[in-house]
Amino acid sequence: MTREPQPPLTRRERRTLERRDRPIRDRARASTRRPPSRPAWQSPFVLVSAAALVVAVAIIVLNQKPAPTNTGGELFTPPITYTADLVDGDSMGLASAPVVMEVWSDYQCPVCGRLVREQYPTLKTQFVETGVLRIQARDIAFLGGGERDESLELAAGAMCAARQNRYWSFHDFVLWNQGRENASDYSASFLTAVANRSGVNRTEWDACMASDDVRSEVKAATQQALGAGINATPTIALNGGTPSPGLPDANTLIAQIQALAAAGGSPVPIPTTTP
Amino acid sequence: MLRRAEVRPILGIHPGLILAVLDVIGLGIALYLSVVELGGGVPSCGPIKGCETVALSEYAWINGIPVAVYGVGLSLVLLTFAVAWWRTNLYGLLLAHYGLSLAGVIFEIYFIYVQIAVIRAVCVWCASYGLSLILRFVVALIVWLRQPKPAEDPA
Repeated sequence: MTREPQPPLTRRERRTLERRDRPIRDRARASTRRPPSRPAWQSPFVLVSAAALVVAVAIIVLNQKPAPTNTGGELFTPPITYTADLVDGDSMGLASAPVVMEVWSDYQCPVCGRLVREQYPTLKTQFVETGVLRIQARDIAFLGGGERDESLELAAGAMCAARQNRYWSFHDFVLWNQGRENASDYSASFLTAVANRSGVNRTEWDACMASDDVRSEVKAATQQALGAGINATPTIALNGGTPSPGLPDANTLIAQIQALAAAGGSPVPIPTTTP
Repeated sequence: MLRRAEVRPILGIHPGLILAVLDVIGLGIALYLSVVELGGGVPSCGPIKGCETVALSEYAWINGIPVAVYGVGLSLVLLTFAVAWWRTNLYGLLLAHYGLSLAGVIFEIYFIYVQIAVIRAVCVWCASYGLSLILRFVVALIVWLRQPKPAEDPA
């Protein structure tokens, strides 16, 4: 059974249909219209990532260590002087002192600098000059590296000064004018400025620094310390006792020295405090 | 940011719980370092040397406070965000965890550079914390990318 074809619509009928269907088409078009898209840079992901980047960079920038102000010829003069009878190469104090404090240190080590600036003046006045304490420096170089090992150069310079019995002056000038670790603050000009202020004979000192044997000695001392388990500076041992890394508590260290002096020198470990 | 979003579990576990576990691991490492350094000691490195050197370096301290203490604070905040998101499914908490862990990762990359290039020693504890932080950031990023975003309010 077939249907009869419908007669074509008149113009009026077509317009009627269009007016009837127009709201439906408009509503359909409206429902499929997409909301205006947000630019990609306004997405939470991008905004949060950008904020995190800004915060992190700000923390990093604020944490940069400032360059030292005393460089080259503007060295700060340490407030310590030494008489000839108290120093012998890299040891300070009488050979007959009942207490010997060995100090392994690296010249770039900031805590080593604190030990020297904060505690050595008292130790020298109260114990070294009174014949109770002898401080034996053990310079090692393991913080440096690269093409110019600044730790090695500083230790070598100190060793060359020690050969002229000017070690402690050189030692103090470096540690009272410390710069940043491995940031080229300990340039050759810095070393020569320290040498000049330490009172060394420059000709002899320069000749010493030009040779490699002094650096070999420092490297050997460093390897020996590492082999003995000393891998941090400063490390301190009293009368051959257990070496203790870190900055010792000043009052505790003094009490230990006094106790050792009174008891005739049994080795004890040294408690450390906040660097 | 206060809208809730559907959360897709990972291996049947709510991702917030996974982030919380990683945050606890990082918190533990940072706590150990903080307690040791504030107590005046140096962390134990075992056979892998370098911890003492890094701990005694000037770069291990910011404004007189060990960097590890800042790590404790960061881990606590991240843990709070992770647990809160686990319990509430609020979309903004996930975003906050991602952003904060990203900031931590950027700083951690800088600190690793300082250890290698300046201090010339690497602290295994610091490296472990950094690894946990990077892992937390990656998980948060993956979770955030996989999460369906909250539906827009009807016009």
